[in-house]
Amino acid sequence: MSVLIVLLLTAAAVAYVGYPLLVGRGQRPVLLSVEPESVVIAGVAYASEEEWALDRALDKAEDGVPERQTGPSLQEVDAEIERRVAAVRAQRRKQQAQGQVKRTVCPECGKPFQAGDRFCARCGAPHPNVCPQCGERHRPGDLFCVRCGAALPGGQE
Amino acid sequence: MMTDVGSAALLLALVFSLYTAVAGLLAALRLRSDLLASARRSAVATLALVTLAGAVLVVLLFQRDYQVLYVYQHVNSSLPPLYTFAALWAGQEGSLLVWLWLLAGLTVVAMRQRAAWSRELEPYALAVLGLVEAFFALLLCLVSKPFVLLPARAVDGVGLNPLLQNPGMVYHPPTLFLGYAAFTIPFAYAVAALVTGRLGEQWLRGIRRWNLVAWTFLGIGILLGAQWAYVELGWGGYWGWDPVENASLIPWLTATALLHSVMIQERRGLFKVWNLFLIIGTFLLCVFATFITRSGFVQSVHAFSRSSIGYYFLGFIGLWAVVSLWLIAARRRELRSDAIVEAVLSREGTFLLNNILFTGLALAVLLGTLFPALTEALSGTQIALDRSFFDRVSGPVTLAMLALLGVCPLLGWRRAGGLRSALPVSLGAGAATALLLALVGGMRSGLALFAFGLIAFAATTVVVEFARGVYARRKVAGELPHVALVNLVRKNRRRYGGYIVHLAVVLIALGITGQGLFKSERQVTLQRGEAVNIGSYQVRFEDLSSERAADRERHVATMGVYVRDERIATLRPEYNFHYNVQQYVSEVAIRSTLAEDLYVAMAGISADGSAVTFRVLLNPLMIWLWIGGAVLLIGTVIAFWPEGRRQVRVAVPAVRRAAS
Repeated sequence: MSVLIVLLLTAAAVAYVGYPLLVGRGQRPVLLSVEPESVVIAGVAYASEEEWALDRALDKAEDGVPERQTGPSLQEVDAEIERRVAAVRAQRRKQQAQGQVKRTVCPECGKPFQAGDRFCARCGAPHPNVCPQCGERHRPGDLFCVRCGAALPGGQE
Repeated sequence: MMTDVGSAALLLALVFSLYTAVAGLLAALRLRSDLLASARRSAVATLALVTLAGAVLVVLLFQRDYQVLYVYQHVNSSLPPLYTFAALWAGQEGSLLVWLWLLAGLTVVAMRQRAAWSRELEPYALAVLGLVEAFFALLLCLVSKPFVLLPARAVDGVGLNPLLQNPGMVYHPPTLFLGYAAFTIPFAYAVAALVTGRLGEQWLRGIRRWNLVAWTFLGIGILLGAQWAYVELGWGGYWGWDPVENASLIPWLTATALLHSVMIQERRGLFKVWNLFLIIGTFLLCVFATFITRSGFVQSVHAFSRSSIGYYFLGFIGLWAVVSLWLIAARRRELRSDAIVEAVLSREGTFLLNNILFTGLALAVLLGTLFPALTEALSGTQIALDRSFFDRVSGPVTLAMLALLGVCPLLGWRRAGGLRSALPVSLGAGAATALLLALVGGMRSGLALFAFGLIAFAATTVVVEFARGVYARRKVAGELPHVALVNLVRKNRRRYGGYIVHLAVVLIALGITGQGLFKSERQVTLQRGEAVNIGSYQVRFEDLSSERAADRERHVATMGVYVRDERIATLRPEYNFHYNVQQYVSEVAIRSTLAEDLYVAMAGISADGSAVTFRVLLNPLMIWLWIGGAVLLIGTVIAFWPEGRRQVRVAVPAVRRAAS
């Protein structure tokens, strides 16, 4: 009996811990904050200019102008965004290589469409999921255009 | 069967905490987010497994399964439910389990913190936390097993030591353990910052709440322990400089130094190496405190029996000390100060003094605590230091701290600032208090006058700081005084919460001074109807009743308390013979007022039961120690409360959504 419980326990724990490795997916990335953590005035870091003003009123701080802000700089945030975009691209390439992402190809010449394309870049044929009246892209299987209300050809895919 | 499940859960907890460490490290080295996610889940799994083991032990305790050694040793059939639960941490095995459980829980909480600063540090911090958890799990699996079985089921258990049967047993140990365990989080992030080289101020700001939480729980835990000792041990005091008490005080002292010196690094970029030393040192001292309690290394009323577990603790402390020192040495270039201390009479200058005092006192207490062991190692005989050594060291240092506390908040960064307008007020208040006490109160002791003067000085500084802040806000924003006060605290929670903590420390100092310098004690043997005078009280021994209970023989004395022949209270101290330990344990009766505590304990009963020996004490200002503790809690909650500032955030779509 106890052997069974322990085995079940082990299996449950291993499954729970191993799951991210199995599906190859990490945590959602952290939100980026661009809020300055402190502002440096006369060589001292304050939480805000308001705090410095209080200290100034209490005769505890020098006069001065904000010299610089500490905390994540825009460059750092920029670099972080770049890093994440690179990670997304890498993930997409990996999925494509594994054939997980189905790309729509041009019904005329067979060239794959890029995201957001309305016409084929090689032969000019319209994307199969584009409203013939207004040109809005729609999801496969939609019966009417979400923008102009025109009935869509094909309907079912 | 249940013990098997408990042991297996602990073994699995060991495996998963090791996996947390390895997966966290690999996630960091290979930049794999799936491994990090797995390591986080492993930390959650460890918590679940330790919770299971703890739950099993609790169930066994309540089932009174006397075949389990731990249950046999710590409960018996007459133990009330509350203490049956508290028996979970009454013994070494159980308390290590609670330590591990708290650490595992805090690890999971810490991993929920998903700020930008912790992104790169988190995998390493998780690895460190995993290793620390693994150490405790290893102890529970190898040396200090909670689920050991006896060859046969005993009829009844030994039961909990009667001294432990006090409400203090329910909340003092867990609070203290929470403080100890919480210091692991700053330690883990400090090691992570050293490894990654991201030694800027961000991580230090990020963990400041953890420092505060750990410091608060440790401090409140110590005060709760003092309160317990006061009401239970019957010798009339609350602090005996016992090695285990000292062991908990030392990390609290270094942590207090840390809370202050961290501010200097945040504001001015100074003391970077020092702060790392303090964070790492405080954690290692917490482990050291656990070691002192459990190794039998020094004699103490708190200590568990001597065991080999001490070597594991020493190894653990030594290993981390070497690793941390090596990391700090390797990063010494990055840890250079950004500036210098320009003036002693500035905020950073006085913080430096504060740090010297706190760490100096910590060092002195540490040496004093280890002195018997050191002398035994060097000369072969143990020489123990009595409490006069500790009193002589801590007294002047505490007075110096009070003086600093009265000056430091008035100073600005880099400059003396607000001294001119505020210092005369505080100094005046201090001098006036001393003068009043001497002339009107008739106090003659120079030391007492000096101490009370300093206390008034420090307290006035806090009040003046609040008043000046309110005045400044009124001038700038034109607010009414009470609105200005609320807004002042609300917009500067950390600062004014800190000031409230200062006030709490002053109140605690008031209690310590009053009790320390003016306590009076009388030990008398009284017949029924006789009375003893102490202070303005007359305490009359009126009756003694005896009864037999299941676990003890109760003797309750009824004492009438009179002031000028007017009966104001009845006190009922007890003197009980506990069968399980075969000795008498005294239950104290106390009448507390804001001015003084009247404390009556029975110290013996004559053979024929006609005469009783009483210890009667008058402890002036004692209650302010506990009021100070409550104020301290209020202050830290204010300082801890998040600043309600507007958050500007840039959301980046999750990987999954962008990929589809």
